[in-house]
Amino acid sequence: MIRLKLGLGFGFKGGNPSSLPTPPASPILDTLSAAAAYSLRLLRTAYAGSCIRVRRSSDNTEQNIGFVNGVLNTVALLAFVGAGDGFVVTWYDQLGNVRNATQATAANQPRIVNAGVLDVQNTKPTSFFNGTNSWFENFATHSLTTFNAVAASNVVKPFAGLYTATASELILGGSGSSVIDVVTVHVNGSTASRAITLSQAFVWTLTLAAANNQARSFGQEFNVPGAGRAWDGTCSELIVFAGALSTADRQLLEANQKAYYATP
Amino acid sequence: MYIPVSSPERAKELSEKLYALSRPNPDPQDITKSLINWITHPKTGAVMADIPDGIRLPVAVASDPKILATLLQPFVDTGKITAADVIAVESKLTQDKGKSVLLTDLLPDFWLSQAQTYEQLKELGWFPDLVQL
Repeated sequence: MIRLKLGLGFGFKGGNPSSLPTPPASPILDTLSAAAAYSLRLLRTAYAGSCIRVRRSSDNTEQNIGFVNGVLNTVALLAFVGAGDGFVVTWYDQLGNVRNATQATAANQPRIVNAGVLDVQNTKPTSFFNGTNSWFENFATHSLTTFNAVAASNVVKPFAGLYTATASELILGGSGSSVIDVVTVHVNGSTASRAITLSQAFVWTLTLAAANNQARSFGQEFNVPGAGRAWDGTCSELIVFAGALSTADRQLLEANQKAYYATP
Repeated sequence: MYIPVSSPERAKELSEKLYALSRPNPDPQDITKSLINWITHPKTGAVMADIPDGIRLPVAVASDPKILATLLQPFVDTGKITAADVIAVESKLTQDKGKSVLLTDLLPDFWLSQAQTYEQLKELGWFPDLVQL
């Protein structure tokens, strides 16, 4: 992961608004209909809520951080966190369907600011999962079937999933110990694999069998605590759809993400 | 590292009280309620508190230095530590107000001496075997 130092101390260079990240094109979920969406950019014009809730390490105070010009307000974030670390307490669902991803235990919260420096992937803000215990709870997407993410894995670790259901439906994560640099997913009940480059963000869209209705987890294998099965890498965006996307819609979504996040 | 705790309820209490050292007067909108996680052995039901390496805690000026007393009392009752040890913890918490401290510096040596690593616990069956897909 690349860490981008944004100016002296914890601010942008001279506080110049022109150093804010480039705004995305028209929000993609103005066109596509999703069921839940977590991102550090604005995905729906109609969404007027905050992007994330952040805890700062200096005194554990929390604060909501919103958007500016369609992207996370990093100026406000860095000013709030100061020289310490910032952690994502809540990643708000931009669909407003009460599917906010939260983590009430401090030690388990993904990081977004490291010693006053914004965590970034391909120059864009990202949330960092430490591979030990970073994950979100209260992730109510049991009956949903299509999952799309912009994420990077920093290590090869079997069974460590960014987004997982039960052990038998491990998705977006490493498979057996012999697998190197491969993300294995279940697509419509069968296994598919794709080679990835470690620490490089990639876009992934997958669809589970419609009948799959299991508890889900965001950041580690479901209900399997411990360092062995936690996502070690970043996640900048996760969008969940109730059903399968058409090929045209999937390509539209992935093209939008690849253009914004500069992924392969 | 992992340190033994007598029950999930005690682990939750420990986690919440440690966090309260940094947020003695939480905002009603605060989501974070506890500091650390804990695990339960799948067969024996034993409980271990998960202490991430290097985790630090900002001890608030308004924090209560006696907040851990009830958690430490069972150690006193069983002769594992003395009342003087409890007072020493309270004194340290008083001295550390306004500072960021290593969590491991706040816990009694007796407790820390029982710490085990992930690898050690894995050998003892704390984590289910991985299932090859």
